[in-house]
Amino acid sequence: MPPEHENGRPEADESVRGNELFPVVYDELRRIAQAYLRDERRGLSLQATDIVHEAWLRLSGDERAWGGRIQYLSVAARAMRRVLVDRARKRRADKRGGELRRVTLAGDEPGREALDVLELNLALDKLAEKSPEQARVVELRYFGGLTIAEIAEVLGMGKRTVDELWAFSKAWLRRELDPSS
Amino acid sequence: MSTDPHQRLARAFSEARALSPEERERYLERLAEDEPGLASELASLLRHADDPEDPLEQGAEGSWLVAEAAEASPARTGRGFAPPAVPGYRVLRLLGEGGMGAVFEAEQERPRRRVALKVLPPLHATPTLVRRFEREAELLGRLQHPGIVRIHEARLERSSAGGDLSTAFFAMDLVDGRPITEHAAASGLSIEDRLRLVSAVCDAVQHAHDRGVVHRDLKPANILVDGEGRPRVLDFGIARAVDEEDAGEPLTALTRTGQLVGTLDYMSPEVARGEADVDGRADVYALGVLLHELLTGKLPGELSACTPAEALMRIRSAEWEPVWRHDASLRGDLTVIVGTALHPDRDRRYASAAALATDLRRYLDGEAIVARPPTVGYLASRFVQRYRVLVGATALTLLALTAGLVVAVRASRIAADAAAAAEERSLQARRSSYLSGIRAAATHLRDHDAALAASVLDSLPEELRGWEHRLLVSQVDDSSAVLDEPDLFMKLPVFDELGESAWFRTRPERGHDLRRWHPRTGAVEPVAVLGRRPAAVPERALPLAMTRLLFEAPGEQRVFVSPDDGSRTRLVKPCEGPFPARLAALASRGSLMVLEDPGSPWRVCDWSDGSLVEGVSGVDPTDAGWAFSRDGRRLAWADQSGALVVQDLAGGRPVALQRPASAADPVSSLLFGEDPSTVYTADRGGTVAAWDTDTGELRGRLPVPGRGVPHLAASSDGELLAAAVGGTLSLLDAELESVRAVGHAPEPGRSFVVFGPRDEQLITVQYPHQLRLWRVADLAGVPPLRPPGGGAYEAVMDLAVAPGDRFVAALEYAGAVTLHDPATSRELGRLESGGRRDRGAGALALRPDGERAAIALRDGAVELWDPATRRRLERVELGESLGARRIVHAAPGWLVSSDEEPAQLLELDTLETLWTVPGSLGAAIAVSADGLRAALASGESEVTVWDLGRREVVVTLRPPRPPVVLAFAEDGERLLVGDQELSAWSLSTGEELARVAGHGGSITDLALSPDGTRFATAGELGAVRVWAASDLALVLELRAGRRPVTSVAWSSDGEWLFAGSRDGSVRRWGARPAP
Repeated sequence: MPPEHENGRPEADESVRGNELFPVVYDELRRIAQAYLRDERRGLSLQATDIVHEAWLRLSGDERAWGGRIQYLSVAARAMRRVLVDRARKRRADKRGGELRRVTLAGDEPGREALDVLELNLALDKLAEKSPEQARVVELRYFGGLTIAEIAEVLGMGKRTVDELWAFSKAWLRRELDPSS
Repeated sequence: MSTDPHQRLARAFSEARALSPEERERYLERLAEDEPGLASELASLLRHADDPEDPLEQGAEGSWLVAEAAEASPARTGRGFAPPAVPGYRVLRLLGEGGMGAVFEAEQERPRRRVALKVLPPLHATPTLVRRFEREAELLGRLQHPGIVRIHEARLERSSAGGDLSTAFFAMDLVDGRPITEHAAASGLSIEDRLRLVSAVCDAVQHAHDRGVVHRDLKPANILVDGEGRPRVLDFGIARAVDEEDAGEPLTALTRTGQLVGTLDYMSPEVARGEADVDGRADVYALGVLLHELLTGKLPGELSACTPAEALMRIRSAEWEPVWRHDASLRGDLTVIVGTALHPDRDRRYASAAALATDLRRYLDGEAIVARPPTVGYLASRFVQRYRVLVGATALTLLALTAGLVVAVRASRIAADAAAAAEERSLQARRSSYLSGIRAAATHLRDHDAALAASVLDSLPEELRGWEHRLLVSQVDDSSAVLDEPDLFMKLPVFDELGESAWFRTRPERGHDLRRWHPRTGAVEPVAVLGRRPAAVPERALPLAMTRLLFEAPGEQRVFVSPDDGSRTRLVKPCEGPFPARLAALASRGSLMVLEDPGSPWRVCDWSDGSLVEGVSGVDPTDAGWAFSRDGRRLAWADQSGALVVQDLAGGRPVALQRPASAADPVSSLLFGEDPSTVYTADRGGTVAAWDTDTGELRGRLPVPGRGVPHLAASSDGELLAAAVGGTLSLLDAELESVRAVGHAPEPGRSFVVFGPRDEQLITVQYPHQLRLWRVADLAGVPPLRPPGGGAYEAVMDLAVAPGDRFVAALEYAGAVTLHDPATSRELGRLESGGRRDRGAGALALRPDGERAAIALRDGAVELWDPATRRRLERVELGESLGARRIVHAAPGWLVSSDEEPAQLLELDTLETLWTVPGSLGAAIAVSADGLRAALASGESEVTVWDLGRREVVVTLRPPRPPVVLAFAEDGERLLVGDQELSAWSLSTGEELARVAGHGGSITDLALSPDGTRFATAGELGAVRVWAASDLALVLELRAGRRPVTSVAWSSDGEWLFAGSRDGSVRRWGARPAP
C-alpha cells in the first residue's frame, strides 16, 4: 500500500513533512480529535477545521518556532489529513467494525451526503498525480480549513487562480467519488 | 495549447464555468466537434460542479460553522444603525453601542417612564433562535434583585427592513451610573469600601445563579455603580440557563471564524479551554478578576499585549502573580481570597459567588476566612487579632477552645455520614484533616510563610504522613546548616576567606566575645584577638571586605583594623572628638569609617591618620544605617523623613542629595551597587528599589516575597542581590527584573543577610538566635534531571527508572533514549534506536533488573537494548501504529499495545511474538506487581484483565469511556483507570468503586509509588498530581512547566518523583537534598 500522505510534489512534501513542527501538529490534532470522538456526550459533529483551529490555540501560545498562523495551517492541513486517514484505516482494521465503516466529517444530518475519507484520500492521491497543485489546494481547503485568500498566500498564487483550482478540483473529485459515473 | 490532457481539461472547465448555461451548451457543442473525449469529460465535470450541498465545501466550512457565522456577522457590522422604531417606545438618544448591539434612552408609553432600550443587531429568526430567545426572556424576568438591572420587556420584532430578519429589544431600568472601576477610582474608595462593593456584586450574581442564570460576561462595563453607591449588574444578554440542554457551548464556539465570545480579560480558564459545561464558577472567576483590578489597579494578566491565541493560552493556565506582588500590603488573607477566586481549577475556586462574598465579609469583620484551609495556629492568630485585649492570661484557653472547635466542626460533619462505623469515621476525619493540612502547608509555602507551613506540617499525625509530607518538610527549610546559638548578637557575621567558617559576636552580656562557626562540622570555637578580650566584629561594613576585620575595644577607646594585605591586625588612630563612639560603618576600600555617638553628630573619620572628614550634622538616619559605595568615596543613608541621601566624600562636601518621590514605607536596608551611581533600598512594605544617585531617578523596583522587614546584601560581582525577609531569602538580579530564586526557613523572625566569598554562599542571622548557611545553588530548588529545551523531536515521551536508581531512562520523540544518573544528574549515555524520526517514539520499558530496555516505536519496530553496554540486541517489526503505543514488562514477556493493533506478548530475549491478545485494542495497558496479570483496553470502551499464564480472561470492566492509562493498585484488588477522570474498579466484581475529577484535560500517565500508598498522574496542562491510592483523594499538585507532561515515574525507594515533559525536560521532586 503506498503511503497515502506521501503524495504531491516532492519539494512541497519536503517543506511540509521535513518540517520540525509536523510531529507536534500531528500529535496535537490527533489528540484533540480523539478527545472529541471518544467523548460522545458532547454530541458534536467532528469538524476538521475546528480541530485545526483548536490545535492552533493550544500550540501558538508556547511555540515560538511557528512562522505564524499561515505557516501553521499549511502544516496542519497535511497533518489533519493524516489524522483522519489514519483514524479511518484504524476503524477499518477494527475487527468489531467488520465491514468498512464510514468516517464522516460533517456529522450525520439527514439529507446531507457524507464523504468517505479513505475514498477521498485515494481520489486525492490520484488527483495529485495529475496536478499536485490542485491536490494541495483541496488539502488546504478541506482538511486545513484555509480560506481562499490564505491558500493564495501559502501557495504564492492569486486568489482567482486558487478559486479556479478549487472549483475544478471539487468537481473532479466529486465525479471521481460518484459511484454512478 | 498545453499537451497535458488534465491541464487542458482544467482550462476548459474554467472557461466553461464562466459562461451562462446557454453559452456553456454551445461551448460544449463546439468542443465536441474537435475533441469529443475532452467534451464529454468536461460535461461530466460540469454536472458535478457548483453543488451548493457539496460535502467538500461542508467539510471545509462545516454546516454548523456556516450557520453560526451567518448569525455572528451582522453583529460585527452592526455599528451606527438608525434609531429603531419600536412600538410602544419613543427613542430619545443613543447611550452607547458595542459588539452586542446599541443602547438607547427611550420613553415607554405605558406605563410612562424612562427606560434603557437595548437593541441587538438584526438576526435570522430561525425557530430555534426564537425558542431560545423566549426562554431567555422568561429567565430574565425571573431576576429581581436590587443589584440587578431589571428587564421590563424582551421582544423579538420582525425587522422593518423586510426579509426574515428580526430585531431583539430589551427594555430595562435606566441606570445613571458609571462602571465600578471608574467609580472606585473617582471616589477614592478605600480597600475596605472596594471589598464591600464587590461583596454586594456577589450577592446580585448569586441571585441570578440561584435562578439558573449565569452571566458569562461580567466585566466593569456591565457593573454600574449608581449615584447612591449601589452596584447594579446589567446585560445578562448572553446568559443562558445552566439547566437547559444547549447551555454548554461546544469547544468550537471559541474558534468560530476567529471571533471570540465574551471579554478575554474576564474569561475563565474553563471557558478559554472550551469546556462544555460552563457554570456559575466562571462568573466567580470574573469576580476574582474584578477584585484583582479593584485592589491592584491592574488586570491579572497583561493580555492586551497578546494575540488572542496567546491570551487564551495564558488564561487556560491562569498562572497569575499573587496580588501581593503588585502591592505588598495585600499579603495574607486578601492574596488568598483573590487567589482562590482566580484558581484555574474551578473545583478549587469558591464554589459560588456567595462563598466569595462570605469570605470578603469575614475578612472585613476580622474573622478567619474560609479559603485558607483552617489550621489551629491560623485560627488562633485571627482570634488574637480580634481580641487583642484578651490576649495574655487567656491566650492559652482561647487556643484550646479554638482547637476544640475545629475538631468539633469536623467531627459533626463526618458524623452526618450515618452509615459508616465509628472507627472508620474517625479515620476518615483524620485523613481528611491530614489532607487539608497538606494543602494548607502547600499554600503557606507558596505564600512564603514557611513558619506557618512548618507548624501545620508538625501538627499532622505521624501515622498518616506520606511522601508529600517529607517533600513539603524539605521545602520548609532550604538552608544547608543551622546554628542555634542563644548567645548570638544580632549583627552580621563575617566569612573567612574560603567560606568554610564564619565569625560572629556574642551578646553584650556575654561580653561581645568573638566566636567561629564551622557549618560543615557544626563546631563553634572561641576566638582570641590579639590575645585581648573583649573584642568585637563591627556591624555593617564588612561584607565586601572579607580580609578586613575591624575590632573595637570599647573599654580602651581604640579601634583595630586588619589591613587589606592580610598582615597583622593593627591599632588605628582614634578620630578627633568624643570617645568611645560606636563604629557604624567601614568602607571596604580606603580608610574611611563612620562613628556614631548618641548625643553628638555622626562623624566620618579616616582611620589611617585619625583625621575627621567634614560631615553633615543634624542627620537622623533610620535603622537602615549607613552604606559606603564600593570605592569608599560615597556614603548613603535614609533619614527619618523618608529621604535617601547620598554624599560624596571625596572632597569632604555633600554634593548629592536626593529625595525620591515615592518613599511611602520607611527604608529598612540600603547598599550601593557595584557602581557608585546605584543605590538599592528595601522598605518595610517589602519592595526593593534601585535609584540612580546622579539623577535621583528610580531605576527599578521589585516586591520581594516573605513576611517581615527586608534586609539586603549584594554579591561581590554585582549581579545578584539577596533579600532576607523573615524566614524567606530571595535572590534578585541587579536590574530588579525578577526574583531568581527563593529559599525558605521555618524561623519567621527578622533576619539579616551577607554573601560569602565567590558569592557561592550566604549566611542569615535570624532573630532571636540563629545563624543559617545557604548555598546559592540550592536556592533555585532541585535542578531538573534533564533541562528543558531542544526541539519537538527532543520532547520526552516516556520514562523508566532502573532498580537502585542506577539510571533514569527518558525516551525522546525521535526514538532515542537518554540515560541519566539521578545522583549526579549526569547523562550516562544514549541509545540511538532506528525509529523513523517523524513517526515518533511510542514507549519504553525496563526489565525489573534494569539490564534490558525495550523501546516500542510507532513505525512498528520494537528494539531490545542493553543499557550497560548501550548495544542493541534485537529488533523486530510489528504493525505500524501512528497513535499511542505502550510497552510493559510482564513475567512471560514484553507486552506491546497500540491504538490500532491488538496487543502482543513478545519473548523476553528474542522478541518473537508468543501470543496476540484476542480482542485487545488500545494503548492503555497495565501489568500486576507479580507480572502475571495484565489489564488491556479492548476496543472503544472495555478493559479486559487476563491471567497471562493460563491466557484466560479474569474479569471485564466497562468504563464509560475508553481508558488512556491503567494501573493495578498495590492490593491487587483494584484497577485504576484514567481518562479525563480517575476511577477505581474492583477486580473481583468488575464494579466501579470510586470516581474523581482528574486534571484539566486528559491524564497522560499514571505511576504507583513503590509502597503503593500514593500514585502520581501526569496531565496535559503541565501538572503532576499526587493521589492517595486508598481513596483517590488528591494530595498535592506539582507544577511542571507549561507543556504537557507525558510521563511520571517513581525512584525505586519511592523518595523521588520524576516527570517527563514535551518541553524536553525530566523534572524531579523529592524529600532528600539534591546531590
